Amino acid sequence: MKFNFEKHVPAPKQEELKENVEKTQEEFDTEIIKEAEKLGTNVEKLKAEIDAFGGEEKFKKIFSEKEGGFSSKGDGEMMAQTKGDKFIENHLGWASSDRESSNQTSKFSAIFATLAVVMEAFMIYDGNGQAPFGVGITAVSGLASVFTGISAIKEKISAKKYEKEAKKMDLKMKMTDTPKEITN
Amino acid sequence: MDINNITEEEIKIITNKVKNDEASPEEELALLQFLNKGVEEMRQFIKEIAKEEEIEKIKNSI
Repeated sequence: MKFNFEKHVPAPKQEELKENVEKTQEEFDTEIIKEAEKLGTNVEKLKAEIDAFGGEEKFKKIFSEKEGGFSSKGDGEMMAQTKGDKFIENHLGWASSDRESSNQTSKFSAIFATLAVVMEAFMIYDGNGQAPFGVGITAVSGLASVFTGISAIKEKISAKKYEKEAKKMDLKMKMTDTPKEITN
Repeated sequence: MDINNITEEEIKIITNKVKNDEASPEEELALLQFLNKGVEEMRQFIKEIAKEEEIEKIKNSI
């Protein structure tokens, strides 16, 4: 390994390093808020598009029809595994095997399966105790719970950032606030 | 963190970290980006299906 000592670059001072870290943190905060807002808009648009398409029922029906061809496991077996790791294993199994057979539906199934993993990890189920996308052929049974789940994650992440921003603003206000003279 | 190459297992780990307030800003951003990608893909799915329906309607009307 060769080292070039000709151009000596002084090591950054501790204060500079700290400033860089804070800047990165601030950049992350800004990006997180931006991404959270984008997600909120995207979810609203998706809801509107599902409505324009003919509603959730129609969407579910079409998705089930398209997905119907790749349920290699028996329906009984699928229905027996409603949530937990088995559910994820099965869903991911279908998704990856379908990815190999490469068709349009498999692409979406893989995405739905992964979103289901996120929701499962966040422990959000619909009213029937089912994971958001339901099981097998009843995929997308709980679109509403997917939306709720996404919003919950978005809120959890962005709330902290907004709180931080508010504290910063508050501090700034306090620092610039000069005592006012009382005049009659 | 490249969300296009992120694995399901990584997503699951990050989600759990977010849930337990243990995620780094980079991980929080990655999860939001991943969710955005998922929602955008769902929107794309609807667009494609709607397009297919439109083509079918035109075919039937000829």
